Amino acid sequence: MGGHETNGEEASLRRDTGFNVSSQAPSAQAMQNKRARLNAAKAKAGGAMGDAAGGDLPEDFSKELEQLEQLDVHAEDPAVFWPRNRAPALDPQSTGLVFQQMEIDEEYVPSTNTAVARLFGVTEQGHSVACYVQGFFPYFYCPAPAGFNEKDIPLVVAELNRLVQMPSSAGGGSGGPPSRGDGSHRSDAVVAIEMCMKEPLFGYHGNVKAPFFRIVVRNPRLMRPVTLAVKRGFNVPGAGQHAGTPYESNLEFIIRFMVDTDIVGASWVELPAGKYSVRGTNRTFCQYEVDVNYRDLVAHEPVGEWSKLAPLRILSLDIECAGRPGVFPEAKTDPVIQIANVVTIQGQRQPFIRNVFTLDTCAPIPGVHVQSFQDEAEMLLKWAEFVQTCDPDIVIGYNTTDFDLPYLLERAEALSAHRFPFLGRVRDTMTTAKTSHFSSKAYGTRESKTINMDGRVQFDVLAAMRREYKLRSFSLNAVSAKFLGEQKEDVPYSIITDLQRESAETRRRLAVYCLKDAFLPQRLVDKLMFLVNSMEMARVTGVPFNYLLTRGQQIKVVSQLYRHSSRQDLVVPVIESQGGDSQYEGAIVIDPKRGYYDAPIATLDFTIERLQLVKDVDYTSTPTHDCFVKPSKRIGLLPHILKELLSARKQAKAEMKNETDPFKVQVLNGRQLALKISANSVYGFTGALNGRLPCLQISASVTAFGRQMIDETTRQVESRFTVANGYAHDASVIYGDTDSVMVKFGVSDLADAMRLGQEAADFVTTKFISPIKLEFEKVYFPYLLINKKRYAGLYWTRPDKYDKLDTKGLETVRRDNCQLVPLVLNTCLKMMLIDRDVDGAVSYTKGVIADLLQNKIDLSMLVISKQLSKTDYAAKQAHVELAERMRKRDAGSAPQLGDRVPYVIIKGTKNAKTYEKAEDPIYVLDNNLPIDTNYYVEQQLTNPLTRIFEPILGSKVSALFKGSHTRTIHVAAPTTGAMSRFTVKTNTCLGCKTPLRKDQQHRAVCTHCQSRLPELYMRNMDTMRELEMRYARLWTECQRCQGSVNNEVVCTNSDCPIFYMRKKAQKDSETQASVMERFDCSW
Amino acid sequence: MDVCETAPAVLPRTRVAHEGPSEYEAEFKTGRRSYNQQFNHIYFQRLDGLKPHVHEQARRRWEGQRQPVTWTQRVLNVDGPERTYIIGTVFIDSAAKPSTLAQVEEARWISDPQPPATYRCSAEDVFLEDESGRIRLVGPAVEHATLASGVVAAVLGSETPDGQFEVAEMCFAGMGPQPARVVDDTQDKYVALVSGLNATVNCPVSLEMQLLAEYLCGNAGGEPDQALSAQIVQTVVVGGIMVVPEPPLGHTEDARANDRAPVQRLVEEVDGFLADIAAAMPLTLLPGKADPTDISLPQQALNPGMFAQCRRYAGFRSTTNPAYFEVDGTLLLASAGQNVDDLGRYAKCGETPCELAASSLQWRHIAPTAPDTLWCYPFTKNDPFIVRSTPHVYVVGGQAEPGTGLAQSAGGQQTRVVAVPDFSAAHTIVLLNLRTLECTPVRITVPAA
Repeated sequence: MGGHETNGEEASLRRDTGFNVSSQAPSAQAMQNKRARLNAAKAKAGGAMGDAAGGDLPEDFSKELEQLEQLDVHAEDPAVFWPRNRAPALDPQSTGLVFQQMEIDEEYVPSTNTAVARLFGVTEQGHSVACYVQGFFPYFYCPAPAGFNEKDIPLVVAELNRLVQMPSSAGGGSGGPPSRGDGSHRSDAVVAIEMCMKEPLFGYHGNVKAPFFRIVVRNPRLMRPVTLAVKRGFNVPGAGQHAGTPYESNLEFIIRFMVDTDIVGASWVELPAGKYSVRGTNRTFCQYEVDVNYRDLVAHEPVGEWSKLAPLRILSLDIECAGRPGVFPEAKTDPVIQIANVVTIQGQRQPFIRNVFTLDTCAPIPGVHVQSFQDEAEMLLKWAEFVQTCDPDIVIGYNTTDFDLPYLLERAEALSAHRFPFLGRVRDTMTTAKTSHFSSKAYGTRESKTINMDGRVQFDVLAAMRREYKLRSFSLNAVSAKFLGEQKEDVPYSIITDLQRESAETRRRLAVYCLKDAFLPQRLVDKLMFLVNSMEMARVTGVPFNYLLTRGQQIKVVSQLYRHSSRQDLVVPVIESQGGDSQYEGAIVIDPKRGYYDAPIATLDFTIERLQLVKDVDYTSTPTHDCFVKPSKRIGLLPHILKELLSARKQAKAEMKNETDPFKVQVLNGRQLALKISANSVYGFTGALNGRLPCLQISASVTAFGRQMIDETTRQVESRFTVANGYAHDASVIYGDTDSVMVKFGVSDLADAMRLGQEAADFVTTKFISPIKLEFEKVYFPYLLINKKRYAGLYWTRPDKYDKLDTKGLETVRRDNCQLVPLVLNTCLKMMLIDRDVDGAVSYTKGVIADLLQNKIDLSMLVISKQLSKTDYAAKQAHVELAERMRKRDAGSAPQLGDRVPYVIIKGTKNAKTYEKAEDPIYVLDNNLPIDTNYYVEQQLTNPLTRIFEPILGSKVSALFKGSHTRTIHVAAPTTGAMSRFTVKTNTCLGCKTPLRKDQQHRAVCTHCQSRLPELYMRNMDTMRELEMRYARLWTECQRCQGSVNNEVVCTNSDCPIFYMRKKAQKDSETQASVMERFDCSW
Repeated sequence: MDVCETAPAVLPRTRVAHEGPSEYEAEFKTGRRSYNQQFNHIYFQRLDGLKPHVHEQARRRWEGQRQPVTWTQRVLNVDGPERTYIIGTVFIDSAAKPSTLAQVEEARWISDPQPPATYRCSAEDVFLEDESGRIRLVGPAVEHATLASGVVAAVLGSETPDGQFEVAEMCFAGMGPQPARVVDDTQDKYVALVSGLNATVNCPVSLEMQLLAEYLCGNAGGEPDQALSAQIVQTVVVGGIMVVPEPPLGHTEDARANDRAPVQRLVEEVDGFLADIAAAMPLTLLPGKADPTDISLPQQALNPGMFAQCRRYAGFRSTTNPAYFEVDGTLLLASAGQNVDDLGRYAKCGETPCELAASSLQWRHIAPTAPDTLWCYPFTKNDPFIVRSTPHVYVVGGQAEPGTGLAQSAGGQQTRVVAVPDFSAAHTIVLLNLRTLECTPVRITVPAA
C-alpha cells in the first residue's frame, strides 16, 4: 500500500460499509440482531448501574424492550434465519403436492438396477421438494421385420437379453452388471418390447406408417449394449436374423423422460392426492422427499397461472483468497480468507441474508452478519453448513464455476476438511469439480469446470454474460459499469494479503469489498432478467433449467423435435456425426456498389426470412434440386415446430400488451425472446454438420431460395422503375444482403423515396408466389456503403425524424483496438451522417491526429489490452513480453495468468518490433515515456478511417494522415532510460522556447519575452486551472466511488476510464505547478 | 443612495495605523505544491482537528443529562437500539452531483460542469463517516438540518434494525476562540467592501466602476457622501476583479486559439483603475472564481506582478481567497463566495447566504464541501478551512444582494456576517463601520444622460 500513515493506529485504512442498502421492512435477521444487542445492553446496564439497573430507562426505550420481548425468537444467533420456514407434514392421501421443478437428474438405484428421475424444486410456500419418479424406463425404436407376429415378442426379448449378457458381446460389460442369479429379471437388459406403428422422420414415405419395435431397456446404462445388439442383428422367429436400425437410441434419459411426461424446464408439476407417497428417509436436505409413478405425475404447461415463479432461494457468493506476491492464488497453499454471501428470494428486491465468513477477526458491519474464525477449516465447514441449512435453489456468482467453487473444494481437500464437499441437496453425494470441454458452434470451445451440486442450479453470471453479450471486457468491473452504470472499486490482489494481515478494521474493508462482489451478480441477474429469461427459455425449449448454461444450442432443438415428432408418430433416426468441411453455399450477398450516398436509399425486406421459408415454401423443386413436400401432402416437422414457435410468440406478445403486472410483462417478454431465439436456431440446426440431425439439403435450399429472390427482385425493380416507364430516374439496386435489397431510386427527397419504396415492395410482391412478400420498412439517408456487410447509415422510418444511426461490421467492439478507434469512428460517422458535415468530420479527424502527435490524447484512449492466457506462445506477443518484463520489475504487481494486460505502444529504438515497444501504461505515466504516435496513426487509425472516408474522399483519403496538421510533434522527455542519465535538463523560455541562461533557469521567460509576461502567465494559468479542475474532479470521483473519504483510493480497476486520467492529472498538475512557480521569480 | 456631482470640497481621509504582516497572512498559502497525494488526507485532518471540539460540545450537551448518553468511539461500533452518539464527517451522496465519470464516459473530456441549483434530491444518502467506515443517517433531524457534505458533526440517536442510524439531534464544533477586538470609540471608520467588478476584455472599466473609484476617493457625490467616503480607511475587493475568458476546449489545431494577448491589455486597464483607489487608501485584492489564478481553493494571491501601478503604493495587498486580515483592531475573514455558494447547493430550507456563512462558523469550518464539490488543493498536513480564530467580521463576496447576519455562541463569540453583492450586476458596495460593525449598502448609479 503506497499509502502514507496519518495517524498511528488504524489511520491508513478507513472504510465505509458502503453496503447497507436500505430495506423497507426490518428483516427477520435484523430483528434478531436487535434482540441480541438488547440483551447485551440490558446486561451492560445492569452491570454499570448496580441495583438501580433498568429502573431509570426512558419511557420509549422500555417500551421498545417490551415489544422485543414479545417476539417469539429463541436463539441469539442470526443463523436461526438461515433455514426455510418449517414445512407442515404432508398427508399424501388428502393433499396433492405442487411445486416448480428447477433441476431434473437421474439416479441409479442398484437394488432394482433401474434409474429414477429426480426432480428438485420448491412449492409456492417456499418448501423444498425432492421428488423421485419411479417406473420410467428408457427405450428406443427399431423397425420390425415384415410379417412379425406379436405373440413372438417374449422370444425376441429373451433373445436380446441373451445377446446382451453374452460375455463375448462387446460393450455388454460396460453396461449392466452380470447376472448374479438373484431373480432373473433384475439383470435383464430388455424389460419389454411393444409393437407400434411409426414413420421415420427423414424423407417422405407417403404418409404410410410401418411397424416398429419399441424396445424398453432397464436403465440408461444398458441402452448402448442393447442398441449394439440390435444393430448387429438378432434372431426373430419367422424372419430369421434381423439387423435393425435403432431409432431415438441416442436421446438422453432425462430428455426422454421430460418429453414423454410433457414436463418442460422450470415448470410446475403436481402430484395428485393419493398418487404419491412420502419417504421416511432423510437422504436429502429437502423438506419433502416423495415418490411418485411417472404416469401419475401431472405436468402443468407453463401458461396462464402456471407461468408464475416459485419463491426460489438464490445464493450469490464471492470469496477472497490471500495470495503470495506474484503468484495467482493456489488452493493448495493460499488460504481462503473470506466468503461473502447474499441470499435473496426470487421476486424480492432486497436480500434477506447478508453475511460474511472471515478468517481472523473482523470489525462489525451494520446490517451484515459477520462470523469470524481462527481456523480456516472450521470456517469452510461452517460455510458448508450454512449452504446446507439455507438450502438455496440457485447458486450464482461471478466466475464461481471456474474459480470460487473449485477453489473452495480444493482448499477443503488441502485442509482435510472432509465434511466440506457436500454442497448439493443429496446428503451422501460428494461435490467435486471436474474439468470439461465445452464446445459449441455458437459459443466456441472453452475449458471449464463442472461442479455437481445435485438439486441446486448453478448459474454463473460470467458464463451467462459471455453467452448473451459481446463485450470488450467481461470483468465484473466492466460489466457492472456497462449494465448497472457504476464503476466498481477494485482492490488489487497484491494488497489483499496486506489488508488481511493488518487489523480487524482492514479486514472489514475487505469484507465490505467481498460483500459488494457477492451482491453485484445478484443485481446483474435482476437487472438483465437472466433468471426469468432463462426459465422461459427452458420452458419454451423443454430442456431442464441447468442445461441452459452447461449445454449448447442443439439440445434445445432436439428436445423440441422429439416433442413434436412423438405426437406425429415420427421416429427420429440416429445419425453419426459426419464432421468434414462440406459447406453449402453461404450467405447471399450481391456485390455492393460502394460509395457515400447523399440520397435516400430505400430498403426492401423479405418479410419471410429464410427460416420461415422452411415453413411455408410450396415448391416441389428447389434450386439445389432437392425436393420439399407440399404441405397439402404433409406438413414437415420443422415447419410445424416453427409454426408453433411463431404462433406462441405472437400469443406471448399479445398477452404482453394486455398484461398490467410489470413482473408478468417481464416474464412474457422473456418468453417471446426465448421463442424468437429458438425459432432462429431451428434453421441453424439443420446446417450443423457434426450435429445430431444434419440435413444440409434444407439449409442449402433455403439459402438458394434467398439468392433467387434477391436476383429476381433486382431484375424487377431495375426494369420497372426507369425513366422509360415514366419515373424521374432510373432506379438501381446498390446492394443486396440475405433478406434485404437496397434500392437507389434517384430521388433526393425522403418522402418520395419512401413512397417509391412502398410502391416497389407492393409491385415485386405481386411477382412472387404467396406467402413471399417484399416489405418496405426503412430508408437510409445518407448511406455509406463500405463493403459487403459493412455499411453505415441514418435509419429513417418516418420522413420527419430519423430513428437511429445504424452501422454494420465496423470496428466498434474489437478488443485489440485502443478506445480511440471506436471513439473517432463513431464521432466521424455521427458528423458525416447525422450532421451531414463531411468537412467537419475531416477536420475533426485531422484534429485528433494532430492531438495524438502532440501528445494531447488521454492515455486511457490509447490503452490496448489482451488477456494473458498462457505463457508459451510460439510467436512473441506484445502483452506476453510485457508481462514478463513487468515480472522482472516487480513480481508482486505483474499481471497473472488470466489477467488482462493493458499496454500502450511506446517509441523504441529503430526497427524495434511492436512487441518490444509495449509498455505498462502506469510505467509510461510515471516515467514520462514517449508514445509511439506513428503506431497509433498507422496501425490503429489508418485502416478503419480509410475505410469510412474512402467512399467520400477517394484517393484524397491519405491527406487525413499527412499534411500540415501532422507537422507539430510533441515528444515527452523520458525520466528514465539510458539516455536520460546523460542529459541535463534545461528550462526554456515559456514564450519562445529558447533555452534560458544558466543564471536565469528559475525564470519563466527570457529577457526578450519579458514584455509578454502577463500574457504567458495567463496562458500557463489556463493550463494550471484546467489541471487543478481535472485533478479535483477525478480524485473526488474516486473517493466517492469507493464510498469513503477518509481512506486512500487504492482501486486498480484499469477498465475504468478514469484510471489513467487521474494518474496523469497528478503528474501534469505537479509539473505545471512548478512551471507556475517560475513566474513568481520573474516579476 | 444616488450620487450626483457637486463642487469638490477637500476633506482629510481618515487613516488607521497600518499593521505589519499579520499572523494570519500565511493561513491560506499553499506554498510549494505537490499533487502526488490524494484527498483522503484533508478529510482526515479535518476530522482529526475538529473531533475534540465536537466531542466537547456533545459531552456538554448530552452527557450531563439525567439519563447519561455514552459516546461510541467508532461509528461502525454502534450496536443496537441503545441511545448513543457518534462523531464523524457528514457525507451527502447524491445523484444530483455532477458525475465526472458520466462526463468522461460520454464525452471523453473533463470540463468544469455547470453546477446544478441544488445537490439535494430524492436519490440521496446522508452518511456519517470516521476512520472505521460510514453509517447512513436517517430521520427528520437529518432531513431538516442545515447541513453539507464534509461537516464534522456529532449525532445522537440509535441504530435501526437494518443498520442505519436514526438521528435525534446533531451538534457541531461550535465557534472557535475569538481574539479580543480593539474598538476605537472616538470616530466612525469604514471599510469599503466591493465584490465582483468583473472587468471584461470588452469592457475593462465600466462607467459604474469609474464612478466607484471617484466615490471611494471622495470625488463624487454631495458633501454628506464625501464626508462619509473620507472616513473609508480601506477598500477590500472580495473576489471578481476580472473575468478571464474561458480558454477554448477540445481538439484544436490553431495555436492562436490560446492567444491571451487581449487578456494582457485587460490586466493593464484594471491595474490602472485600481491604482486610482490604491493611491487614496489601502487596497486589498482577493481573487474570485474567474480571476487569473488557481481555480481551486484556497486561491492564491493574484500575482502582484500583474499590477505594476498598484504595487507602487504601500497599502496595496494582493491576498489569497479566502483571507484573514486585520483593520484597526478588527479581524476580518473574507471569502469571494464560492464556498458559500456551494453550501447553498446543499441547503434545503431556503437559508440565506448569510445564514449559511453563519452556520459554517458554527461548524468551525468555512469550506466543508471542499474537495467533494468545491475544488481545493489536496492538503496533507492540515485543513486550512478549519476556523482556528473566529473573525469579528466574515465577509462573503459574489452574492446577489447585500445582506448581513450575526453568528454568536454561548461562549460569547460574536461574528458579523456580511454578504457583498456582485458590483457588476448590483452596482452596490457595502460600507462596514468598524466601530459598530454595522453595514451600509451604497448603490452607485450613473446619472441618466
